[in-house]
Amino acid sequence: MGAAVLTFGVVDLLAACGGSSTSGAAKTYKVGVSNTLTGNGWREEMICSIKAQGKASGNVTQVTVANRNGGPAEQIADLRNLISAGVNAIILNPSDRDALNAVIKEAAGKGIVVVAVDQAVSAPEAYVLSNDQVKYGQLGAEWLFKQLKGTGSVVEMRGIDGVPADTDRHQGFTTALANYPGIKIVAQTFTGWSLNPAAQQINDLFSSGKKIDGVWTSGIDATIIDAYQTAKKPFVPTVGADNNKFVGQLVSLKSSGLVGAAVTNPPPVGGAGLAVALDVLAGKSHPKLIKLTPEVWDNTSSAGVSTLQSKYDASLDPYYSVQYAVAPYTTYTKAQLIACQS
Amino acid sequence: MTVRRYFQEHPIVVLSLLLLLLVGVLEAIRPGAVTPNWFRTTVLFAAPLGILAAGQTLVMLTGGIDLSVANVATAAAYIMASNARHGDLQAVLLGLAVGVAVGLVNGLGIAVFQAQPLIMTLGMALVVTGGLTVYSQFAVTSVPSVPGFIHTLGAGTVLGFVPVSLLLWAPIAVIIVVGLRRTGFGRLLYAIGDNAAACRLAGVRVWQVRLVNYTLCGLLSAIAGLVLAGTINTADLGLANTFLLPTVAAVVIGGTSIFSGSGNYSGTIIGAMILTVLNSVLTLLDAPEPIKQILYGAIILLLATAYTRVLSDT
Repeated sequence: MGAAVLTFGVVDLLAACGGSSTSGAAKTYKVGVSNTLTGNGWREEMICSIKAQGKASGNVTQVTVANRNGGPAEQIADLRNLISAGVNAIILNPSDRDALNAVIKEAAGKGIVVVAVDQAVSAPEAYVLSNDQVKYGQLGAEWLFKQLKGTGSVVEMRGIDGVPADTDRHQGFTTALANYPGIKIVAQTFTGWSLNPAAQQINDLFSSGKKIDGVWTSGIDATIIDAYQTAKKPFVPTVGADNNKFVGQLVSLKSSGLVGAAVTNPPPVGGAGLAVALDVLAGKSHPKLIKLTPEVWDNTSSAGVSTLQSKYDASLDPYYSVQYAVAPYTTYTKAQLIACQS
Repeated sequence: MTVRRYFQEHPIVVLSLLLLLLVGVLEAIRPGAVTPNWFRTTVLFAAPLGILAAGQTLVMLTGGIDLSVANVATAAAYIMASNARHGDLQAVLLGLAVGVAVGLVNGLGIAVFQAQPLIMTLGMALVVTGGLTVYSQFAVTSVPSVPGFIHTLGAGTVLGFVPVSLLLWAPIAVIIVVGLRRTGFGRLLYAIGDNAAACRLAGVRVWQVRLVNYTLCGLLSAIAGLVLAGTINTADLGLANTFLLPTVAAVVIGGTSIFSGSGNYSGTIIGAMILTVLNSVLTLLDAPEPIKQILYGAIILLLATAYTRVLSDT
């Protein structure tokens, strides 16, 4: 403990008298990561992006990852452990908006830079860097409704009821829908962001005989395309996320009549969060709230097709997110991200 | 009273009637929904659950439980898919080996070291998931893909509407149903579930039976995982995780006592079908999600309690 406190003292001193005159090359940092959902590909890629950014930055000596399934209670304990371990910055994917505020305040009081990524916290001391999930829902839905020329029956396949990202995306979806009175939502399902329920739901909708002109998904996308192929049904315009397999399908199945768009939700918000934290430690300022506007990669425009082609990597995992970087924050290479080493 | 007597002697009839009732509800909600294609979809999604619940039935008969079945299925599917480039046979064998290995460890812990099954298998579930996550970071560039014949096994159809997976599930079902009734091993499972101490005193090597039983459960979980990967045509880190509690529900709805010693796999099969049809009903039901969740829970409760009441002697 004594050593840890001493380290903070030194860092504080450097930060205080450093300013623009010192190069900062000699300064090194320890970084803590807190994540409370395991066995999830997106979250693992997020953690890899933090490790890769630490390596690319050249001044991170250690990345300590606290990664287990849990809620706010477990995360508070993990954050306390990271504080005790003497880290200079903490990147966390918060399990709750308000419940972590006390421990975040405690960390900030010790000079630790705290960045919440993917989801927001209400603590004023923390930086928040996340994808704009309202826009995620809205941009994808607008693309789909435009594609259907404003009329048709659409299936909305959401994530988990009550989760902030799902609520936000649905809000964006509803906003887009308000401008298209000719679009009818024939079914709304909750996939739990799991492949198996999504597959059964789309097959149930097939056998129900309901007319489906378009499908909006909250990210379980390739599974829907697979179901259309297996059932030998003609494709309908489909919106998904930046998942490797879906991105590949948008390219390779275009000639078979697949029309669709991938909306980005990059796991590298983790690496971007670390970049922001390192900047702040070096004395640069950043806004407390950074919201990324998702990109829409469709296979109907030439720009979209070339992006999809450049992002798809046949050697990667089907649900690996192919938005490898978050400009202008991350500086690692794609190879460093995949290597996942700190 | 004779009707009741008949039901008590043939519990499977009650369950089948409940299943038919649910299918009737589905047809009422969405007229024209019950078609040969509907049958195909239902069996397609019931098969992996049914095979997964087969292992669960075997261990619950002996008074145990296996909370690692879903994680084992996920791991088997993922490891199979990420090794597909080395050849289909090797990939499938590696997948099945995961199930056998985890089942063996569960069995050793429970049978030899007397660990509580709930804690042992919960611990192994975490070990498997953690191990798989580490593995996935090494395997991320190993072109994970589901072999073509596994996709056919999990999603293919013959004779217009008969899923190929039924051709695997049906023999497994026959072996387990007949095996439980006609083989010494099968009858030992009931005996151990009823009174393990008496079995031991009677000279039964209880630990050996438990060891084999948990290993079988692991193998069945792995088979279910491979079938599911075929159905979905992808394997990810959470593929079968939504199946954990449904396996227990399918076994309990199917009439296997949670206190062990009675039940059969035929009930579990209908239980798995009921849960799958219930999902379809809720998908096609035009209601807000919280209402659907309440319905799902309430119907399972109703099934489990009504069924035990009909069958109880008093």
